[in-house]
Amino acid sequence: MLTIDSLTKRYGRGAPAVDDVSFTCAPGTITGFLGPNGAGKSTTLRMLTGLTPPTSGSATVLGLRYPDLPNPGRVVGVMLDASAQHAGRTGRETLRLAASLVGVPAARADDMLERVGLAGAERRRVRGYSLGMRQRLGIATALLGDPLALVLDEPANGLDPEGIRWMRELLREFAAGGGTVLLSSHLLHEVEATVDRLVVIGAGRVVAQGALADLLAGSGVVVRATEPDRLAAALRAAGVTAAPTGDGALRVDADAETVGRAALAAGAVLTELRAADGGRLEDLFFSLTGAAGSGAPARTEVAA
Amino acid sequence: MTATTVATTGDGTSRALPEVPRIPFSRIVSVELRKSLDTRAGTLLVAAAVLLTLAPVGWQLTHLTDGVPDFDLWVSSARGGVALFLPVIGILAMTSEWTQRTALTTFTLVSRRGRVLAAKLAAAVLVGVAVMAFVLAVAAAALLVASGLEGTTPVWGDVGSVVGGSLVASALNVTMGAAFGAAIAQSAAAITMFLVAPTLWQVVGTALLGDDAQWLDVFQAFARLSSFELAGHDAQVVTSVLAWVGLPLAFGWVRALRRNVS
Repeated sequence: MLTIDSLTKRYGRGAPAVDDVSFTCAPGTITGFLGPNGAGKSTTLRMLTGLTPPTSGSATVLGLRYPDLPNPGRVVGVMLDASAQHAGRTGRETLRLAASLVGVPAARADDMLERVGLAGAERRRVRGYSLGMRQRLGIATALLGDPLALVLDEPANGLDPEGIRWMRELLREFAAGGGTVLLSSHLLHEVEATVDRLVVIGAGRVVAQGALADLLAGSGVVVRATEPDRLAAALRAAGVTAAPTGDGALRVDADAETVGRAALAAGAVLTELRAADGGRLEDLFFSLTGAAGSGAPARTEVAA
Repeated sequence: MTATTVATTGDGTSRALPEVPRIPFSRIVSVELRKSLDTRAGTLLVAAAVLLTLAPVGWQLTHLTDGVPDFDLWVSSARGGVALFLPVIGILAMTSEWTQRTALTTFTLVSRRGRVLAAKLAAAVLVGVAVMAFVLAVAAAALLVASGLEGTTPVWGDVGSVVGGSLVASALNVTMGAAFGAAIAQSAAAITMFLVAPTLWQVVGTALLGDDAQWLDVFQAFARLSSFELAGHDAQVVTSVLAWVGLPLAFGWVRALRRNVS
């Protein structure tokens, strides 16, 4: 549905803002585009939607470049910046203008206001909207043309926890109906519960991508024992690497069974054995935040 | 989710493109027209134009000491104040998207930016011509009322050229405003440049070049165009309009097409 192919954007002579980024988004899935601020997420999304010309590479929607879509609002619902709304228009007028451009009845604008929970504020000017309300208005605009795909830049920004939950349900429903969703975020925990797939970007390059479950699962186990030293020795003997986490537990690059057998053989008593939840992804993410701009970290590829 | 058929192609991931026609240009123009009027700024601009038309005409209606003026005099007093506003309509049409950052939404809904720019220009010219039509109607009504009050026969003169000339002048001024708006893309700066640059040229250019300054005197060119009397100055009119309207419009247009929208 959405295909980003070797997209690169270079401003001036410095390091590229987006460097050879490739990924695809399939119908029925929600892809999280994750990276620290300034990693190139927005630039990539703007290239996808024809707002920024790429230096090289291409981005297509159903095989067409965005500018070649006859009526883009009917194919891709886009919200890149919730604050890019005219402050002097009411929410209702904003949507009705968009409805008439896209070519849907004005009544659909009112339905969308209802859908995003702004029906009570429709006659207020956008100037008086909170950021969360503007996000809702932006989502309403994106949904207006009944599109096949949604492209949303930091949609959870400014939403309260209830709002984030509302958005999660809305996007899940959209994807369940066969829609394709691409949303960006700089917070892992914000999208963890929403997305099926992740594309992690740092310093303009994709550093990890794959199914969320795979990215989280690839991170080994955490194990605790009454005698940590004995367990560590047993693990070394079994040929797996174990690293202390600092609070008495060990993180092991192996599955639970391997660890359990090693412990049994050494007669070590385990007090805890569980999958390390997203630790590696989180570490990767933190390393990105710390190292943003200082060169691209090693890539992690996980088969989708 | 949609009425569109779901088609699976070779890679098993693609869906059919909905069969929706291209957005017609007329629809973009009507949306741009609505956008120019649906904000408080738009409403104020129109209200000011109405007030600036009615005020001088009203004053004149109550001070008919020198008899009833001819139609063309009513028109010139009615359009005096409005003339200042017409370029602003053109300027704001081109700048407001960038100032308000709504370009982001507009250009994602209509991705061919040239169509949006053309629609903005068309809508601004339509508004300008409509405002001038109102001015002409007020002038005509004032002439009839004044003649009725004074018991004289209204003198219409060459109505065709007065009406036609006024409409052409308004279209030219709006277009020049739009050209400045497109080239400068910032409302206040564009308005200032519009007010200062051509007038400055009239003074400085005439001082430096004498009669040759006519080659770049856009307001004289507009006056000739709207009086339908080029009087052998065709080449000067063309160069002036190209320099002050064509050039900034082309520059601003090309830049808007390529500009990084953020």
